[in-house]
Amino acid sequence: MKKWLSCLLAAMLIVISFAGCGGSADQMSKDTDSGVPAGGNEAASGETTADTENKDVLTGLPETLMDGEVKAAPEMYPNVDFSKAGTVHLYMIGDTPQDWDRILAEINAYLEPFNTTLETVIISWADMGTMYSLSLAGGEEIDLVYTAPWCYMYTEAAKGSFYAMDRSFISQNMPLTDKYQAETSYAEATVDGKIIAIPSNLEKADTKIVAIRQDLAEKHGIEKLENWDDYMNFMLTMAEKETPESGILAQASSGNNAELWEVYRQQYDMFYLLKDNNLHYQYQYKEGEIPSVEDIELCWNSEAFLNFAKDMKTLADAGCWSRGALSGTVSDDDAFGALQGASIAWNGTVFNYMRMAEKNEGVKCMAYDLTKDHLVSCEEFNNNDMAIATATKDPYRSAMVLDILKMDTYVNRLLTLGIENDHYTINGYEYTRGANAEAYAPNSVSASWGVNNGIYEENGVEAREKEMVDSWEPRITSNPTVTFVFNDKEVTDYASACKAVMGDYIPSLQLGLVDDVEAYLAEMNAKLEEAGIAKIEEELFRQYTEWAATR
Amino acid sequence: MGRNKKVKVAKPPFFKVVRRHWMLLLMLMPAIVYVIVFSYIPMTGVVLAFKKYNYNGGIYFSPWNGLNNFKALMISGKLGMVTRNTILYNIVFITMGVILEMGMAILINEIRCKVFKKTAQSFMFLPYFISWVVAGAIVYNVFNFERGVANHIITGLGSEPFDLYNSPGAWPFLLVFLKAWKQTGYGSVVYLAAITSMDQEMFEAASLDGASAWQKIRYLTIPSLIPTMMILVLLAIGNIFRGDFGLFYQTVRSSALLEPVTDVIDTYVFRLLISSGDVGVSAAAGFYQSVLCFITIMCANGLVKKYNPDYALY
Repeated sequence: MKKWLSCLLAAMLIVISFAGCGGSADQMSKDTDSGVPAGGNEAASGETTADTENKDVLTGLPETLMDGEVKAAPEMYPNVDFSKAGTVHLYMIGDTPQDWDRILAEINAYLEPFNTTLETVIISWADMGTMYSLSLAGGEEIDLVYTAPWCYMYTEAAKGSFYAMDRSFISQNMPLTDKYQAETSYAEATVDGKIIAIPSNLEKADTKIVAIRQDLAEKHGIEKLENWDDYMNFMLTMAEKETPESGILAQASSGNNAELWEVYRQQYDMFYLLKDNNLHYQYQYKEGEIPSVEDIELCWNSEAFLNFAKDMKTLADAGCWSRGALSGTVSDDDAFGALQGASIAWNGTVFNYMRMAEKNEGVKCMAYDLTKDHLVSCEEFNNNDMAIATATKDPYRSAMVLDILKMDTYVNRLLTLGIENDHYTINGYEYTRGANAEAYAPNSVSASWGVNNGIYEENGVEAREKEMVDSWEPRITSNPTVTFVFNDKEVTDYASACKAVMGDYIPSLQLGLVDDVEAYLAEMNAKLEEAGIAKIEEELFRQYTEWAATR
Repeated sequence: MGRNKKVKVAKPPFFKVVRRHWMLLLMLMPAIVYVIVFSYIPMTGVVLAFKKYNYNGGIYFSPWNGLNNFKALMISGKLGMVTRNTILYNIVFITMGVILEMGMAILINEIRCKVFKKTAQSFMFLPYFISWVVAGAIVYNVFNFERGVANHIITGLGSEPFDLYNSPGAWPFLLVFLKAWKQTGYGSVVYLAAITSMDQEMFEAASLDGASAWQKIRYLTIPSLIPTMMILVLLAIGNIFRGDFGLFYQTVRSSALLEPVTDVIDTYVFRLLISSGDVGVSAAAGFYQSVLCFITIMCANGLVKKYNPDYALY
């Protein structure tokens, strides 16, 4: 008896050792049934034949997105096997809106004739740095993913995270996108001749402003802010008079001061040639001219950044933000909304945080453009993108869902604006926030930025917000090098090393938490030299010269 | 010939052994399976260090990359720094560990009041159960510049507040203190067990011969603890290139300013993987660490074997 008990125990222990190695049989069969070879990331060009009848289905569609309602139909997607049910997993970043489940249910009801279900995962801002890459790498079920140059787009593309497409794949599997997407947008997401993601279909002003607690400013005798000097004065006043009294920091910076740096550099009318995870190269804008190689500089070596870092040290020494800001975990925006900070910097989204703070009695906020005499850059198409993940089991179905999210009027409105007559009301292409807009604010999820076509204008925008946005219009200028995309595959090792060095030094400089700005910058430059920045620049300028020659 | 015969007798055929001892072998199976599944199979992932990882190919089918991942590690300019930090911290941890753990075990052993003995031991043991996440939070709340308890006391006494998170020089001391605080109680248990298992007649004889308490410690307890200490030190030396990830990651809170004195190989590998997603380079750093660990333990064991074979691990 004892013997058999021992045997049983031993056997059980062996089985338990393998307990975690199981896999669902359903999943296995699903994986093999999809008919798409694993790792099929070779330039998918719609190898399966597109039905010519497909073109007939498209003929009834409006000429442009603003000429009528666009409605997707299963017949438009001949490569998708509708006899089998499929699930498309969409990954996004950001906060989850209160009514997200309702929006998702509506989208899924619409997708029923396509025999497809959409499932979503929203990675919070706090987890973005760690989870985004891991989600793509970790064998998760992931078909569609929001991406952007500031959200690891090129880094992930280099690792093969995104399903590489070409125009032929798009025309056969995303017919609506093929018809309505701005043709010039593709170049902004093309690396090595392959389209790595579909950019948003929208260009708009992209200027950075500051928002402050106007009530606190007035309390200390500051009426308004006109320029950077006024802003410095406001910050120092807050640190000197307000923080000791109420504990409210002039700015509750967290991690870095990248937003403030963007505000500051607008005084110099610089455009980015390359902006990839601290590897930022810029040039001075000269009347639409394509810059020469000599005009391009690493932005951390510019005079503008040196002056900025010195100002930041002045603010940090005065106690404008916490000495522990470098390892802060609460975003400055959230802290501003929660009345822990007296200012924030970023684009038009600052108005959302202003409204959040103003829900508290006696709180009054105001946004200021500190660079009114300078140009306003035009946000590039690729500032928000949607990619098909390499891990997708069915790229055709994923492409179909993306096509519908982007161009089908009903679904696109669901994603970007919410449920009609609840979250918003619409008249033509002008929408007004509805009674329940708090539960799903317009363009509040990252996917809605990725599928935005820029055709809806908000009615009833607060006067202060409208005035601000209108003031940008005459100054909007396009970046002449917008279609240049750097492919770092020849210098990946050096690029990683240099990005790591900059990741160590730049946040401290931006937060002014250094003893000697110039010495710290020199130390960073010495490390960049060792890490091979010269090799990166050589390759960057080589590719840029080739690109410039084709202009 | 005679030798051959002897071997045959000493080593019966494999299947015969299996048949005779099948039940014992079966009972050994879970342990073998565990080691194979969780220790040996993952080792094959070491190929990543030599691959240009992409998601299509995964671990085994990504293209080979020669020694480029190691080259990338070298050009990062950090390998020397993190290796130095890892070794120096571990040397201090091991030395401090031996002294404090052995000392505490001897002291506890000398305590005659049972209640105090048990209480003291329990309090020493307690920090071991506090995770580094919690310990890190405690440190942050004590030393936070604006709202920390320490600065409230310091400023209350009329002195300038101390900015720990922007003072790299203070961290080696703090980290050593934290490690000792957390580890001493747990580590002293092994020594205490060794002391209690010692032959008491030896101590009684010494007492009869008029040895003082200190003389008994100096000439009996400490020499008798040497084998235990050797084993523990050897095991620790085997891990001299492995940093205590929890300690260095949770208490330092990924501050770039503190990295030159607080970054160890483990935190560096983690950051490489998380911030740049560089799987190949991270694997290369992990491989580098493992090779160094392997060399160290072989050398340490070899040396011990040479001078005193009884104390060697294998």
